[in-house]
Amino acid sequence: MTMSPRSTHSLQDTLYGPPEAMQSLAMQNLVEQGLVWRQGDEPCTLYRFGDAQEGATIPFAIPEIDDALPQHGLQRGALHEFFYNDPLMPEAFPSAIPALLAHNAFCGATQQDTAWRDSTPLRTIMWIGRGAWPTPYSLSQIASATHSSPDALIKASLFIDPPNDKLKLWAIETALRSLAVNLVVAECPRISLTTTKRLSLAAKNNGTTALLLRNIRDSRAASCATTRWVVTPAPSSHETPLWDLSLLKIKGNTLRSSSWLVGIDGTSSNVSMRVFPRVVDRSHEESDTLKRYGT
Amino acid sequence: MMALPLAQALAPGSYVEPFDPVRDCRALYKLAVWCLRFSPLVGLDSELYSARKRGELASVAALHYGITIDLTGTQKIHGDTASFCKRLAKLFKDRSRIAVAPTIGGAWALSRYATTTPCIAPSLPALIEALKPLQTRALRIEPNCVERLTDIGVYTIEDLLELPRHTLGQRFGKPLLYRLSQALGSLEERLHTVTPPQRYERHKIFEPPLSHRRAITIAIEQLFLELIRELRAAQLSARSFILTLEDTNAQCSHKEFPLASATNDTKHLTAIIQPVIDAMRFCGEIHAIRLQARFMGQTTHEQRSFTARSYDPTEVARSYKELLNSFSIRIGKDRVSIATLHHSYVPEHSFSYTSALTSTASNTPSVMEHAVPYNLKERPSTLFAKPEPITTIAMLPDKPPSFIQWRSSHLPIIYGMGPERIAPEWWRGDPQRETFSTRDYFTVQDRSGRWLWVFRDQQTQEWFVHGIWQ
Repeated sequence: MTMSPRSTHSLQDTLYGPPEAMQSLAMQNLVEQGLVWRQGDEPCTLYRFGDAQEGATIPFAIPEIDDALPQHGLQRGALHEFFYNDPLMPEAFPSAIPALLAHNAFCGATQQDTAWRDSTPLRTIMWIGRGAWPTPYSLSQIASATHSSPDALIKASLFIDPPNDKLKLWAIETALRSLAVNLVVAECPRISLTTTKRLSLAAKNNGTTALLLRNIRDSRAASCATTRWVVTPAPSSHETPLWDLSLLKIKGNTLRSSSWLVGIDGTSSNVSMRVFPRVVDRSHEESDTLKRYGT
Repeated sequence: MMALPLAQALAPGSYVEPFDPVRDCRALYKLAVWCLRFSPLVGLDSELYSARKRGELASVAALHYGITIDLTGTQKIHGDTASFCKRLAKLFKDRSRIAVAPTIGGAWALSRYATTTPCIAPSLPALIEALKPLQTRALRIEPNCVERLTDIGVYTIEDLLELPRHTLGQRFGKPLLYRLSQALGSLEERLHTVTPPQRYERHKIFEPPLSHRRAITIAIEQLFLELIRELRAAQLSARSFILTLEDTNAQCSHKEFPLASATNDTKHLTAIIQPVIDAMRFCGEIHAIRLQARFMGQTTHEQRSFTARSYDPTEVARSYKELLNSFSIRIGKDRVSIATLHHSYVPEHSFSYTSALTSTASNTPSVMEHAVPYNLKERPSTLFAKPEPITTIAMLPDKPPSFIQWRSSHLPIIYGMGPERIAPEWWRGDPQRETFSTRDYFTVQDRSGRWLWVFRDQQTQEWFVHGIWQ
């Protein structure tokens, strides 16, 4: 076992715990990249000072999902892919869940988060590609549901409409490399593994997060995204739309419980999202059959 | 003097505009600057000039709104005077009065009071002959001086010239003597010239013309570098650059580089302009390249930190500006937009997108706080740009449909809520009421769990899908 110099030990002590876990500088690099970690440890990533202040994750603010994720949320400075699975609308992208994540990334999900937000400069949320643009009032709805200023999210949003796929990709990368950007939500054209690697490096170097909304036909394509999600509309017996949010892949982790039924929580006075129990409700089908047979 | 209602009664349908001497003066100055193309020396009346200095523009008579062009030595360019005057009159659509004379005072008198236009007096004796029949006020003298002259029976300049010259100063005041001498050329007069605004422009002419793509791009980059260096030396920054390429057939093609915020940062500008130049297409051989900087602003020197940190507000603000600049140049300024919410119950009128470049901090829309507070259950997360027509089977008029056909697939509806009636907003005015009829909105769920926001147009009874929760 090669031991690192003494000075590095103290750094390791503070960052990763016991020094013996770090066998060499090469290993340390791998750990930094989140590629290698000790059994029982969560994968850890070194953040620059500025980003560490902002919290290394974007939480869903839905306890069931956050608990299942290794860092209690989507890792910042990485790519996350979202697919929308609806055969009727092959060109559509999810809009409610990215809007929720944009809100959490910008405003913070908890009171504690809002405190650091006030102390850090305003950073923009980029919506690239018309398919990724949320309806503006849905942003204010989500914001007002969590007691933050309803127009804060809209004021921080910039809507970009690149005319072609090449410029779309350029816009994503430029936004990811900019200091002024907090989160990029982009309609992503068909891209290769190399391109995703390039984007993920840009995101990692700058601490910017990207939610790439991709076409469902690319869901099996290789990519460097840290997580990969599929949103499928699910039949609901509640008076609210439900989506089946399933986690296809998470980098550097085994796939745990990977599917939740997420919907808009309308029971309390404020509207937010929560996980609904997966109960198969056949009442409407019965009524359908009854209708069909004319009783 | 006549009251405005009386004047309007006499001339019905006349156009009324409030008198704004400052604006008039500014417009005249602009016109004078435009006239600099005929001669390097173009001036305004000394009365106008001094009144403007004193801030008493309103007291200046309308006759003093004129432009004086010094034609000395320009014959080689414009040809003979008569044809030049004809061309000039044509440029002003024959609504101008033009006179050419050896002295400024003479030209002033002839242009205002001569019976013909253009009136040309090529030499001093000809000028004196032309001046003789004119009234004495053509000499730019005070009205009370004109009155005193008429009292003794002096009506024209000819009468005035017959009086002994040395007594004029004592009898009618020195200004008369000055003006007379200036008109006749025995006393010289200063021309109050206009100066053209400083233009930041670079151009290069190529002989033989450039045909190689690489050479053209290098030339453009060189021009950019030179212009930016010039701007930096003057501590100015530009918000827009206009590149003009002229090919051998004298056909010009223009390319604008719009910026979100004024800048003269060489590194940043070259970084964002380079890819655009590389992507440009050039047709034919390029004969001349011109680059012009517009919308100048003063810059203060700002210090940049060595290490850009995401928590440094000034660094973040600067990189935000740079990001907007590069987006606006590469993608187009209309494609970078911000959203504004409006207080409207009609879904498509409740928000709008405006270009992020035109709406800077000074005119940020202030309608945000009045947005109608609907929640995510009441309004879909995605609203289609245009409602999509569907065919439905609805059992009862005020109940949600039980079956819809959308995008050529049949969707049985298992759940529906509504109707929510949205009527045109009568307080908005006519345009909306004409284009929009009352709609009944329903929130419906189909069997596979899609939640759609459908409506029935009350007028045509047609059904549409307007949004989806996705």
